[in-house]
Amino acid sequence: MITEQDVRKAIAKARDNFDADALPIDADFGDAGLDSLDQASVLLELQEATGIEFPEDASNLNSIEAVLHYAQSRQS
Amino acid sequence: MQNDTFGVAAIGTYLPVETQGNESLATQFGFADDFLSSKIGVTAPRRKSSSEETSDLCVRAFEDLRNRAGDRLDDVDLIVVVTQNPDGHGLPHTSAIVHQKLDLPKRCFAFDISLGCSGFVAALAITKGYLSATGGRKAILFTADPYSKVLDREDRNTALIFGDGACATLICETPAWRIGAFDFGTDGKKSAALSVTPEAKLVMNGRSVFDFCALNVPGSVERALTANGLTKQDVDGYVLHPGSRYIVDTLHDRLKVPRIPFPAPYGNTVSSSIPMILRNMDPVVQRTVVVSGFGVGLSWATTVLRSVTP
Repeated sequence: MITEQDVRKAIAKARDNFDADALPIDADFGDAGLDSLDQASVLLELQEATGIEFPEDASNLNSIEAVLHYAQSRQS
Repeated sequence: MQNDTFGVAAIGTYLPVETQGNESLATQFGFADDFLSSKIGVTAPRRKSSSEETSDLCVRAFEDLRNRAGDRLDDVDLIVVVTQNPDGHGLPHTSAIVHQKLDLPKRCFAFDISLGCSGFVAALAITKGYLSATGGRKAILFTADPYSKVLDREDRNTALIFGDGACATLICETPAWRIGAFDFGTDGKKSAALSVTPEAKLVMNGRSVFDFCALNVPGSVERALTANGLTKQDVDGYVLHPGSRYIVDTLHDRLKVPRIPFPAPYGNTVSSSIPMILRNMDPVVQRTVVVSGFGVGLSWATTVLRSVTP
Protein backbone atom coordinates (compact mmCIF):
# COMPACT_ATOMS: atom_id res chain seq x y z
CA MET A 1 0.00 0.00 0.00
CA ILE A 2 1.41 3.40 -0.99
CA THR A 3 0.97 6.02 1.70
CA GLU A 4 1.07 9.79 1.51
CA GLN A 5 4.41 9.65 3.30
CA ASP A 6 5.78 7.27 0.65
CA VAL A 7 4.94 9.80 -2.06
CA ARG A 8 6.51 12.66 -0.10
CA LYS A 9 9.68 10.60 0.43
CA ALA A 10 9.84 9.82 -3.28
CA ILE A 11 9.49 13.53 -4.10
CA ALA A 12 12.24 14.45 -1.64
CA LYS A 13 14.51 11.82 -3.19
CA ALA A 14 13.75 12.99 -6.74
CA ARG A 15 14.35 16.68 -6.12
CA ASP A 16 17.16 18.15 -4.04
CA ASN A 17 16.34 21.14 -1.85
CA PHE A 18 12.60 20.69 -2.17
CA ASP A 19 10.42 20.68 0.95
CA ALA A 20 8.18 17.74 0.11
CA ASP A 21 6.54 17.82 3.54
CA ALA A 22 5.24 21.33 2.89
CA LEU A 23 3.58 20.39 -0.41
CA PRO A 24 -0.23 20.43 -0.09
CA ILE A 25 -1.71 17.05 -0.94
CA ASP A 26 -3.73 18.47 -3.82
CA ALA A 27 -1.08 20.88 -5.16
CA ASP A 28 -0.25 20.51 -8.85
CA PHE A 29 3.31 19.19 -9.19
CA GLY A 30 4.06 21.52 -12.08
CA ASP A 31 2.80 24.59 -10.23
CA ALA A 32 4.91 23.57 -7.25
CA GLY A 33 8.07 23.49 -9.38
CA LEU A 34 8.36 19.76 -10.08
CA ASP A 35 9.02 19.24 -13.77
CA SER A 36 8.24 16.18 -15.88
CA LEU A 37 11.59 14.56 -15.13
CA ASP A 38 11.06 14.93 -11.38
CA GLN A 39 7.62 13.38 -11.79
CA ALA A 40 9.10 10.48 -13.77
CA SER A 41 11.57 9.85 -10.95
CA VAL A 42 8.82 9.92 -8.33
CA LEU A 43 6.71 7.37 -10.19
CA LEU A 44 9.71 5.12 -10.87
CA GLU A 45 10.67 5.23 -7.20
CA LEU A 46 7.14 4.24 -6.16
CA GLN A 47 6.97 1.55 -8.84
CA GLU A 48 10.20 -0.04 -7.67
CA ALA A 49 9.12 0.13 -4.03
CA THR A 50 5.64 -1.32 -4.49
CA GLY A 51 5.48 -3.08 -7.85
CA ILE A 52 2.60 -0.87 -8.99
CA GLU A 53 2.98 0.08 -12.65
CA PHE A 54 1.87 3.55 -13.58
CA PRO A 55 0.42 4.31 -17.04
CA GLU A 56 2.69 5.56 -19.82
CA ASP A 57 0.64 8.72 -20.02
CA ALA A 58 0.81 9.85 -16.41
CA SER A 59 -0.08 13.47 -17.05
CA ASN A 60 -3.14 13.16 -14.78
CA LEU A 61 -1.03 11.92 -11.87
CA ASN A 62 -0.03 15.47 -11.12
CA SER A 63 -0.48 15.69 -7.35
CA ILE A 64 0.13 13.56 -4.27
CA GLU A 65 -3.60 13.01 -4.05
CA ALA A 66 -3.87 11.87 -7.67
CA VAL A 67 -0.98 9.43 -7.27
CA LEU A 68 -2.55 7.99 -4.12
CA HIS A 69 -5.94 7.61 -5.79
CA TYR A 70 -4.38 5.79 -8.74
CA ALA A 71 -2.30 3.50 -6.51
CA GLN A 72 -5.29 2.67 -4.34
CA SER A 73 -7.41 1.86 -7.40
CA ARG A 74 -4.74 -0.60 -8.55
CA GLN A 75 -4.46 -2.24 -5.16
CA SER A 76 -8.18 -2.63 -4.44
CA MET B 1 38.28 -18.20 -33.75
CA GLN B 2 37.61 -14.65 -32.63
CA ASN B 3 40.45 -12.19 -33.04
CA ASP B 4 40.52 -10.23 -29.78
CA THR B 5 43.24 -7.83 -30.85
CA PHE B 6 40.86 -5.44 -32.62
CA GLY B 7 40.12 -2.17 -30.97
CA VAL B 8 39.66 1.58 -31.25
CA ALA B 9 42.79 3.17 -32.71
CA ALA B 10 41.73 6.78 -33.45
CA ILE B 11 38.61 8.91 -33.66
CA GLY B 12 37.78 11.83 -35.92
CA THR B 13 34.83 14.09 -35.18
CA TYR B 14 32.73 16.74 -36.85
CA LEU B 15 30.34 19.19 -35.21
CA PRO B 16 28.63 21.74 -37.49
CA VAL B 17 29.31 25.36 -36.59
CA GLU B 18 25.69 26.51 -36.54
CA THR B 19 23.97 26.29 -33.16
CA GLN B 20 20.43 26.58 -31.90
CA GLY B 21 20.03 28.97 -28.97
CA ASN B 22 18.41 26.79 -26.34
CA GLU B 23 17.90 29.42 -23.63
CA SER B 24 15.31 31.40 -25.56
CA LEU B 25 13.64 28.21 -26.73
CA ALA B 26 13.41 26.88 -23.16
CA THR B 27 11.80 30.15 -22.09
CA GLN B 28 9.42 29.93 -25.01
CA PHE B 29 8.43 26.42 -23.90
CA GLY B 30 7.77 27.69 -20.37
CA PHE B 31 10.51 25.74 -18.60
CA ALA B 32 11.91 27.01 -15.29
CA ASP B 33 15.12 29.05 -15.47
CA ASP B 34 17.35 26.26 -14.20
CA PHE B 35 15.76 23.48 -16.27
CA LEU B 36 18.31 23.69 -19.09
CA SER B 37 21.36 23.62 -16.85
CA SER B 38 20.13 21.21 -14.18
CA LYS B 39 18.14 18.77 -16.29
CA ILE B 40 18.95 18.95 -19.99
CA GLY B 41 22.59 20.05 -20.03
CA VAL B 42 22.44 20.91 -23.72
CA THR B 43 22.98 24.64 -24.18
CA ALA B 44 23.85 24.97 -27.85
CA PRO B 45 22.88 21.98 -29.99
CA ARG B 46 24.62 21.92 -33.35
CA ARG B 47 22.68 22.09 -36.58
CA LYS B 48 23.96 21.01 -39.98
CA SER B 49 23.30 23.32 -42.91
CA SER B 50 20.43 22.46 -45.21
CA SER B 51 22.90 21.62 -47.98
CA GLU B 52 24.82 19.08 -45.87
CA GLU B 53 23.82 15.45 -46.27
CA THR B 54 24.52 12.66 -43.81
CA SER B 55 27.36 11.41 -46.02
CA ASP B 56 28.89 14.91 -45.96
CA LEU B 57 29.03 14.78 -42.16
CA CYS B 58 30.85 11.45 -42.47
CA VAL B 59 33.35 12.92 -44.91
CA ARG B 60 34.07 15.83 -42.55
CA ALA B 61 34.66 13.41 -39.67
CA PHE B 62 36.92 11.35 -41.94
CA GLU B 63 39.00 14.46 -42.70
CA ASP B 64 39.56 14.94 -38.99
CA LEU B 65 40.42 11.25 -38.58
CA ARG B 66 42.94 11.51 -41.42
CA ASN B 67 44.69 14.34 -39.56
CA ARG B 68 45.03 12.03 -36.56
CA ALA B 69 45.67 8.66 -38.19
CA GLY B 70 47.44 9.58 -41.46
CA ASP B 71 48.57 6.59 -43.49
CA ARG B 72 47.07 4.17 -40.98
CA LEU B 73 43.88 4.74 -43.00
CA ASP B 74 45.37 3.05 -46.08
CA ASP B 75 43.99 -0.35 -47.15
CA VAL B 76 40.72 -0.19 -45.27
CA ASP B 77 38.68 -3.39 -45.67
CA LEU B 78 35.32 -2.05 -44.54
CA ILE B 79 33.38 1.11 -43.88
CA VAL B 80 30.19 1.13 -41.85
CA VAL B 81 27.74 3.99 -41.36
CA VAL B 82 25.44 3.87 -38.33
CA THR B 83 22.42 6.01 -39.12
CA GLN B 84 18.64 6.13 -39.16
CA ASN B 85 18.64 9.43 -41.06
CA PRO B 86 20.47 8.42 -44.22
CA ASP B 87 21.08 10.34 -47.43
CA GLY B 88 17.89 10.62 -49.48
CA HIS B 89 15.60 7.68 -48.80
CA GLY B 90 18.32 5.26 -47.74
CA LEU B 91 18.77 3.57 -51.10
CA PRO B 92 21.59 3.43 -51.97
CA HIS B 93 22.96 3.02 -48.49
CA THR B 94 24.79 6.04 -47.17
CA SER B 95 28.01 4.07 -46.69
CA ALA B 96 28.14 3.48 -50.45
CA ILE B 97 27.85 7.23 -51.00
CA VAL B 98 30.63 7.84 -48.47
CA HIS B 99 32.67 5.17 -50.29
CA GLN B 100 32.22 7.16 -53.51
CA LYS B 101 33.02 10.53 -51.92
CA LEU B 102 36.21 9.17 -50.35
CA ASP B 103 37.16 7.39 -53.59
CA LEU B 104 37.78 4.12 -51.76
CA PRO B 105 38.92 0.97 -53.61
CA LYS B 106 36.35 -1.60 -54.79
CA ARG B 107 37.68 -4.24 -52.40
CA CYS B 108 36.52 -2.11 -49.48
CA PHE B 109 33.03 -3.28 -48.52
CA ALA B 110 30.40 -0.86 -47.20
CA PHE B 111 27.14 -1.25 -45.33
CA ASP B 112 24.83 0.73 -43.06
CA ILE B 113 23.57 -0.23 -39.62
CA SER B 114 20.12 0.96 -38.55
CA LEU B 115 20.45 1.73 -34.86
CA GLY B 116 20.18 4.87 -32.76
CA CYS B 117 21.93 5.65 -29.50
CA SER B 118 23.08 2.06 -28.93
CA GLY B 119 24.57 2.03 -32.44
CA PHE B 120 28.21 2.85 -31.76
CA VAL B 121 28.74 0.10 -29.21
CA ALA B 122 26.73 -2.41 -31.24
CA ALA B 123 28.75 -1.51 -34.32
CA LEU B 124 31.98 -2.18 -32.44
CA ALA B 125 30.81 -5.79 -32.08
CA ILE B 126 29.62 -6.02 -35.69
CA THR B 127 32.78 -4.47 -37.11
CA LYS B 128 35.05 -6.62 -34.97
CA GLY B 129 33.07 -9.69 -35.99
CA TYR B 130 33.24 -8.79 -39.68
CA LEU B 131 37.00 -8.31 -39.58
CA SER B 132 37.47 -11.56 -37.67
CA ALA B 133 35.22 -13.50 -40.05
CA THR B 134 36.79 -12.18 -43.24
CA GLY B 135 40.44 -11.94 -42.30
CA GLY B 136 40.20 -8.18 -42.62
CA ARG B 137 42.49 -5.84 -40.76
CA LYS B 138 40.97 -2.36 -40.76
CA ALA B 139 37.56 -0.75 -40.70
CA ILE B 140 36.25 2.77 -40.35
CA LEU B 141 33.10 3.03 -38.30
CA PHE B 142 31.09 6.14 -39.12
CA THR B 143 28.29 7.40 -36.92
CA ALA B 144 26.13 10.18 -38.36
CA ASP B 145 22.47 10.55 -37.45
CA PRO B 146 21.38 14.17 -37.98
CA TYR B 147 18.10 14.35 -36.08
CA SER B 148 17.53 17.88 -37.38
CA LYS B 149 16.07 16.09 -40.41
CA VAL B 150 13.15 14.86 -38.30
CA LEU B 151 13.03 17.25 -35.32
CA ASP B 152 9.77 19.03 -34.60
CA ARG B 153 11.02 22.40 -33.41
CA GLU B 154 7.78 23.00 -31.55
CA ASP B 155 8.02 19.77 -29.54
CA ARG B 156 9.18 20.60 -26.01
CA ASN B 157 10.07 16.91 -25.43
CA THR B 158 12.77 16.76 -28.09
CA ALA B 159 13.64 20.19 -29.53
CA LEU B 160 16.17 21.06 -26.81
CA ILE B 161 18.01 17.75 -26.70
CA PHE B 162 19.32 16.53 -30.03
CA GLY B 163 22.27 17.90 -31.98
CA ASP B 164 23.89 17.02 -35.30
CA GLY B 165 27.40 15.60 -35.55
CA ALA B 166 29.45 12.73 -36.87
CA CYS B 167 32.41 10.58 -35.90
CA ALA B 168 34.79 8.33 -37.80
CA THR B 169 36.45 5.64 -35.70
CA LEU B 170 39.37 3.55 -36.93
CA ILE B 171 39.11 -0.08 -35.86
CA CYS B 172 42.28 -2.12 -36.35
CA GLU B 173 44.74 -4.54 -34.75
CA THR B 174 47.00 -1.83 -33.29
CA PRO B 175 44.51 0.06 -31.16
CA ALA B 176 44.64 2.45 -28.24
CA TRP B 177 41.83 0.53 -26.55
CA ARG B 178 40.89 -3.11 -27.08
CA ILE B 179 37.21 -3.99 -27.26
CA GLY B 180 36.01 -6.31 -24.51
CA ALA B 181 33.00 -8.54 -23.98
CA PHE B 182 29.53 -7.08 -24.52
CA ASP B 183 26.08 -6.91 -23.00
CA PHE B 184 23.09 -6.22 -25.26
CA GLY B 185 19.34 -6.05 -25.00
CA THR B 186 16.14 -4.83 -26.65
CA ASP B 187 12.61 -4.17 -25.37
CA GLY B 188 10.66 -4.05 -28.61
CA LYS B 189 7.38 -3.56 -26.75
CA LYS B 190 8.58 -0.04 -26.03
CA SER B 191 9.70 0.70 -29.58
CA ALA B 192 7.07 3.42 -30.09
CA ALA B 193 8.54 5.45 -27.21
CA LEU B 194 11.16 6.89 -29.54
CA SER B 195 10.05 6.89 -33.14
CA VAL B 196 9.36 8.92 -36.27
CA THR B 197 5.77 9.49 -37.35
CA PRO B 198 4.48 9.03 -40.93
CA GLU B 199 4.74 12.82 -41.16
CA ALA B 200 8.50 12.46 -40.58
CA LYS B 201 8.43 14.00 -37.10
CA LEU B 202 10.40 12.60 -34.18
CA VAL B 203 8.29 11.79 -31.12
CA MET B 204 9.52 10.66 -27.71
CA ASN B 205 7.74 9.47 -24.59
CA GLY B 206 10.26 10.89 -22.16
CA ARG B 207 9.02 8.99 -19.13
CA SER B 208 9.04 5.65 -20.93
CA VAL B 209 12.58 6.22 -22.19
CA PHE B 210 13.68 7.40 -18.73
CA ASP B 211 12.22 4.31 -17.05
CA PHE B 212 13.83 2.03 -19.62
CA CYS B 213 17.26 3.55 -19.10
CA ALA B 214 17.06 3.74 -15.31
CA LEU B 215 15.84 0.16 -15.01
CA ASN B 216 18.12 -1.51 -17.57
CA VAL B 217 21.40 0.32 -18.03
CA PRO B 218 22.92 -0.13 -14.55
CA GLY B 219 22.35 -3.89 -14.81
CA SER B 220 23.89 -3.94 -18.25
CA VAL B 221 26.98 -2.16 -16.96
CA GLU B 222 27.29 -4.65 -14.10
CA ARG B 223 26.94 -7.61 -16.46
CA ALA B 224 29.48 -6.19 -18.90
CA LEU B 225 31.98 -5.70 -16.08
CA THR B 226 31.44 -9.27 -14.90
CA ALA B 227 31.80 -10.59 -18.46
CA ASN B 228 35.17 -8.84 -18.62
CA GLY B 229 36.31 -10.11 -15.23
CA LEU B 230 36.20 -6.62 -13.74
CA THR B 231 34.53 -4.71 -10.94
CA LYS B 232 33.68 -1.03 -10.57
CA GLN B 233 36.94 -0.56 -8.67
CA ASP B 234 38.81 -1.31 -11.91
CA VAL B 235 37.03 1.38 -13.95
CA ASP B 236 38.76 4.67 -14.77
CA GLY B 237 35.84 6.24 -16.62
CA TYR B 238 32.25 5.75 -17.66
CA VAL B 239 30.96 7.00 -21.00
CA LEU B 240 27.21 6.59 -20.63
CA HIS B 241 25.31 7.93 -23.63
CA PRO B 242 24.59 11.59 -22.79
CA GLY B 243 20.93 11.68 -23.75
CA SER B 244 20.44 14.46 -21.20
CA ARG B 245 22.11 15.59 -18.00
CA TYR B 246 19.27 14.15 -15.95
CA ILE B 247 19.61 10.64 -17.31
CA VAL B 248 23.40 10.69 -16.99
CA ASP B 249 23.14 11.86 -13.35
CA THR B 250 20.46 9.28 -12.62
CA LEU B 251 22.56 6.45 -14.03
CA HIS B 252 25.67 7.50 -12.12
CA ASP B 253 23.60 7.63 -8.93
CA ARG B 254 22.12 4.20 -9.56
CA LEU B 255 25.55 2.76 -10.28
CA LYS B 256 26.80 4.43 -7.09
CA VAL B 257 29.67 6.14 -8.89
CA PRO B 258 30.45 9.87 -8.74
CA ARG B 259 28.57 12.16 -11.08
CA ILE B 260 30.53 13.92 -13.84
CA PRO B 261 30.05 17.31 -15.51
CA PHE B 262 27.64 16.88 -18.42
CA PRO B 263 29.94 16.18 -21.37
CA ALA B 264 27.75 17.13 -24.35
CA PRO B 265 26.55 20.77 -24.31
CA TYR B 266 26.54 20.52 -28.13
CA GLY B 267 23.62 18.09 -27.98
CA ASN B 268 22.70 14.44 -27.98
CA THR B 269 24.36 13.33 -31.21
CA VAL B 270 22.75 9.87 -31.03
CA SER B 271 25.22 7.17 -32.14
CA SER B 272 28.06 9.72 -32.25
CA SER B 273 27.68 10.67 -28.61
CA ILE B 274 30.09 8.08 -27.21
CA PRO B 275 33.00 8.44 -29.69
CA MET B 276 32.58 12.22 -29.44
CA ILE B 277 33.55 11.91 -25.74
CA LEU B 278 36.06 9.08 -26.14
CA ARG B 279 38.09 11.17 -28.56
CA ASN B 280 39.02 13.50 -25.71
CA MET B 281 39.94 10.73 -23.28
CA ASP B 282 43.55 9.71 -22.75
CA PRO B 283 44.18 5.95 -22.97
CA VAL B 284 47.30 6.41 -20.86
CA VAL B 285 45.24 7.78 -17.98
CA GLN B 286 41.79 6.30 -18.51
CA ARG B 287 42.82 2.73 -19.16
CA THR B 288 39.57 0.94 -18.43
CA VAL B 289 36.47 2.65 -19.76
CA VAL B 290 32.88 1.44 -19.70
CA VAL B 291 30.89 2.56 -22.74
CA SER B 292 27.12 2.15 -22.85
CA GLY B 293 24.64 3.33 -25.46
CA PHE B 294 20.87 3.14 -25.05
CA GLY B 295 17.78 4.52 -26.72
CA VAL B 296 15.92 3.72 -29.95
CA GLY B 297 14.48 0.20 -29.93
CA LEU B 298 14.36 0.54 -27.05
CA SER B 299 17.78 -1.04 -26.81
CA TRP B 300 21.07 -0.98 -24.98
CA ALA B 301 24.63 -1.98 -25.79
CA THR B 302 27.52 -1.97 -23.33
CA THR B 303 31.17 -3.00 -23.42
CA VAL B 304 34.47 -2.22 -21.77
CA LEU B 305 37.42 -0.67 -23.57
CA ARG B 306 40.84 -1.52 -22.13
CA SER B 307 43.92 0.47 -22.99
CA VAL B 308 46.90 -1.21 -24.61
CA THR B 309 48.77 2.10 -24.81
CA PRO B 310 51.98 1.91 -22.78
